[in-house]
Amino acid sequence: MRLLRLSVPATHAGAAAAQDALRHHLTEAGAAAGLVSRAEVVAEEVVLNVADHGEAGPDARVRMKAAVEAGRVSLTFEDDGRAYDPLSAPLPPAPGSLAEAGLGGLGLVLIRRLAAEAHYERLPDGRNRLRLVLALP
Amino acid sequence: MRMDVREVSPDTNLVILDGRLDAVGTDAISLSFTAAVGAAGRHALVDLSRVTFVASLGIRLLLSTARVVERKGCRMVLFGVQPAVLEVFDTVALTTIIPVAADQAAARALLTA
Repeated sequence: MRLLRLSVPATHAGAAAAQDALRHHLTEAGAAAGLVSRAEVVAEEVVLNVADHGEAGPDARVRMKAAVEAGRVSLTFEDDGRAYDPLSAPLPPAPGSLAEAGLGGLGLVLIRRLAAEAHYERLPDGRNRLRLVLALP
Repeated sequence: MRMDVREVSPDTNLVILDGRLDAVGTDAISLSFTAAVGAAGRHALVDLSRVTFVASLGIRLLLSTARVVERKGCRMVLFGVQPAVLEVFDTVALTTIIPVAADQAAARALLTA
């Protein structure tokens, strides 16, 4: 099982770099196209969450690991930002109309609903670790 | 991400997006999309057949612009959505509040539905 290890700045450009690396690695490892696409989505959401809410400063970075095993994609994200569990933050309610639809929290919805499994922990050294497993139904 | 805007009738614009609606792509067109669609005071048919990726920033742009269009008494309809993009739309229930059609003709029919 080949492992991708990557560190990107918590910026829009960093998210793009993470997506490019993931797409290349996961495709070469034989992941289904649908899972590659989901991996790119969650990578962007995690990186942007750290950028927008991590309070880790302008040099914030996100470390990633990715692997394909038995057709499933495993992703691990770590950052040095403030303690934040994206799996327990309240999700926005389903929109009843365009006028009522909130613009926030969509990234959390995507992370939680696109992942088959998700685990968060705050490490003793003060890092956030988010592990996601993506699998086709 | 590239954007092209064409008038298809006096009250309707066709907006063609080409590329990825990721964070970088959304940044590239955000102002021009809002200006061309949100501020136009016309219906908008948004062709997504050449959009290969979307995430939350891109969805927020579509949502916020659709709201402005609606407040002006017009409609924004998306069409030609690729399967991977549609999966993301369905995950956030976007299709329940912004109409999505299979093609331009069906999208245009939804404007008067």
